[in-house]
Amino acid sequence: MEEITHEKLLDYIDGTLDRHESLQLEEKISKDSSLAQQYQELLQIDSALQHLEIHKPSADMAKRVMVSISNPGIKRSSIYLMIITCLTVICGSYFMAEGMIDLTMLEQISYLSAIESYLPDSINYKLISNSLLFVLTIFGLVIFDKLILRPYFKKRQYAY
Amino acid sequence: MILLISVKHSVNQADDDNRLIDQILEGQQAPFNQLVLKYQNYAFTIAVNILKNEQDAEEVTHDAFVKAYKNLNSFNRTAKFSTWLYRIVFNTAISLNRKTKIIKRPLDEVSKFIATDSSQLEHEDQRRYINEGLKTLCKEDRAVITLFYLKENSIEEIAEITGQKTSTVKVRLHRARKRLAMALKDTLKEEALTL
Repeated sequence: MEEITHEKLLDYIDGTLDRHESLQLEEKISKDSSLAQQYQELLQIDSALQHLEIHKPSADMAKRVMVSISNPGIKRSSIYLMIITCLTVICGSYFMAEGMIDLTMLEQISYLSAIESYLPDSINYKLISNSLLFVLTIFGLVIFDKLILRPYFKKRQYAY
Repeated sequence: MILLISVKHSVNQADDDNRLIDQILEGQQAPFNQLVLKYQNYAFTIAVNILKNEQDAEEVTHDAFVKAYKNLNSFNRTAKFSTWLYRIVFNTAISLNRKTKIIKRPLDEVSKFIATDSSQLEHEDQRRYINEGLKTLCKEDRAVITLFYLKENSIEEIAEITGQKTSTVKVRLHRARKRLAMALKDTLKEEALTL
């Protein structure tokens, strides 16, 4: 006589046995009290599991997801752009402070010396170099604000 | 007849989801809100039952939806959207779970939570005891049980969500219920001895 396993009983509860097997099993359950008890235990668990609790997330879950989608956060390209800008500003500041670089270097470059002949002598190259560096610094700060700080704080604002 | 109505309802749901997905892929964001509202409870429940922690489950559910949105163009529609989404939830939850140290309680503790006779229990109590009992199972077994009973996913769909073979899913499902039943039996014995 074939032994009835828990798996067989669970298949019966799940309704995956064919009609013939189901009838055979029902007959065995009706004759075997031990088997009937096993069946009742499994049926009890199955019945209890039917009432599994559905957990609900916080009410603003959908809103937070939509905000994250609209503001995908800090992009890697933004970080690279920020690093390049910072390095440019730092290097520019250092070299200019050391007097190693300014627009008077144009004179030393042979193929640019022709251009220099068209430029008036009164131009203060040092001032232009400093101004360009200043603009670059401001540009770097704007990038830092728009691409790094704002996405970061917007994300934090909606993080729980 | 009931089966026919159920199949028709499922097909309609898939059509609705596909319509929303088409709109999202055309560049609209608002339809995704509808998908989030529709599936957030089940997605969250799956995450809670895997992680046993509502705060982590919130994070996982949120991240799973964002991942789903970003990768929506890779959803090939051979399966239901829900199956695809639950797979993302499952994988995200399992990844987070691996990062955190899990303190396992012995299976015997199930007996503390499962009452002597479920027919005598209040509905809410029964649900609570089962939830507590489930927490003592391993995360994969819990996920399979949750998917099977919560959304009435088929074994094949659960296999797709969890990335396991159908035979493995079936074994897990049987094993988990068997363990819960054995725990219940132990409790009954204990109760009988203390009488």
